[in-house]
Amino acid sequence: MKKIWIIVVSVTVLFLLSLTTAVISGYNSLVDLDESTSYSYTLIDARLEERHNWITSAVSTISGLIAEEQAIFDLITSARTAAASGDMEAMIAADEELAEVVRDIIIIIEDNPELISADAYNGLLIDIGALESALFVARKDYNDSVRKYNADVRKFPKVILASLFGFDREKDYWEKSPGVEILPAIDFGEDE
Amino acid sequence: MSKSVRSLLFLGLLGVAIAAIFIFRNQTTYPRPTREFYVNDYAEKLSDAAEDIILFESAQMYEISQDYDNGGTQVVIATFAVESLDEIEESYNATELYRQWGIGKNDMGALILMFFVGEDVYVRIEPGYRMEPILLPGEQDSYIAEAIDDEDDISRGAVHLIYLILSDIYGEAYELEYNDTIEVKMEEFDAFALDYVPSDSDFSSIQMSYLGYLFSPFSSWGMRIFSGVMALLFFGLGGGFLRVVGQGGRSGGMGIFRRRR
Repeated sequence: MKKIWIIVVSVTVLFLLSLTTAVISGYNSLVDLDESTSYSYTLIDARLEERHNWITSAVSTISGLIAEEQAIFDLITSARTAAASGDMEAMIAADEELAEVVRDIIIIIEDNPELISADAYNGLLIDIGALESALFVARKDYNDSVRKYNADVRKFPKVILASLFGFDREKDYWEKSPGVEILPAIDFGEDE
Repeated sequence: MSKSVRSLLFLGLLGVAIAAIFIFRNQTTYPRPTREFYVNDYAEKLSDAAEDIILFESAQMYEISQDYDNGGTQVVIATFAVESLDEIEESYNATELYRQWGIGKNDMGALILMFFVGEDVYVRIEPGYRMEPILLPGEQDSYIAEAIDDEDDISRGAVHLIYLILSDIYGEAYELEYNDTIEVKMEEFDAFALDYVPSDSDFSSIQMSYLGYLFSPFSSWGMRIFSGVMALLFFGLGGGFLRVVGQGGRSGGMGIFRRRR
């Protein structure tokens, strides 16, 4: 009888130890994944901030050639407000709008050969090329981390741990949402 | 050693080899860095003298920077011969390659890629995250222009580019500078390349001595096993202690890509 009790207690202790280890390991893994997505998100934010600075600098440089200067600065302000509020949909919308602004600035620079020849304008093009490349990488890194998080959080036993400890069941990807409000288009006038 | 023990040993080694194939099968999309790490001349376009100088200068940068808080800088160059520009875009992602090789400690590193498409040369520079404020895109462009654009000898151009980049990193990250100007260093390289004698201190002679132990009819089984294990540790199955390796660095794509003008 005593032997049976020893076996039962040993098995129970072993089971509890295994369970505790699994819970700790699963919880820590979820924390790591959660942190990874947050970190990737801050990298996008940082890259967008760099792009805002570039646009500000570029618009100042080609000041006389842009009709809607103030509208661009307003866009940058609203983009920074969206980033500060953490509203991802607004950030994505601002990202898309400012990408259009960047494209338009590049067209203006390319359509004005006298600007292209100047080192400052070449420098602007080189900087924005590198920045857009970095932004692309940041978006991809974020989506990769979200994909991993979303997949892991639905798997057993992490699905239980996620509910138990209040982790998000799903994180949003950085992608164009159909419901995003379209901000007014920027019209560049080259006649000014 | 009995037959059964030898059979077991053989089966064990076979198992390790098969496991290694399965483990690494899907991991490597790019070639592994060479044992020298800092120079990866897959296109075989660089002279031995240029490779030696780049290896020496990059290794020295890593060692010197170790004394600083933001140390462990690794600057790596790789060359690839490709069929077309499309192949570069489809098959070579500088950020992925940088991360796979783990260049630089604490993201302090730079990867220089040189693609050879017929007569054309394309250069891509990929700085590590913490190298971005030091190697700015405009500076990357001007270094390529200065070193590569008007240089017929691509080996000389690669050495020049390395000197410019290392000089920038020494100055901005560590407040150090070369004793000589880049022009003087290039003159020294020209003289070195002219009288270049290949070094004998490569790994092949050491590898041969291990193989000698391994297959010699005069070696005992104990000596063969010992030599085999040492050979695996030093030369086989993914490298070993003599291989220079990346320090786990990451990059974020803040680099430029352009054709030699």
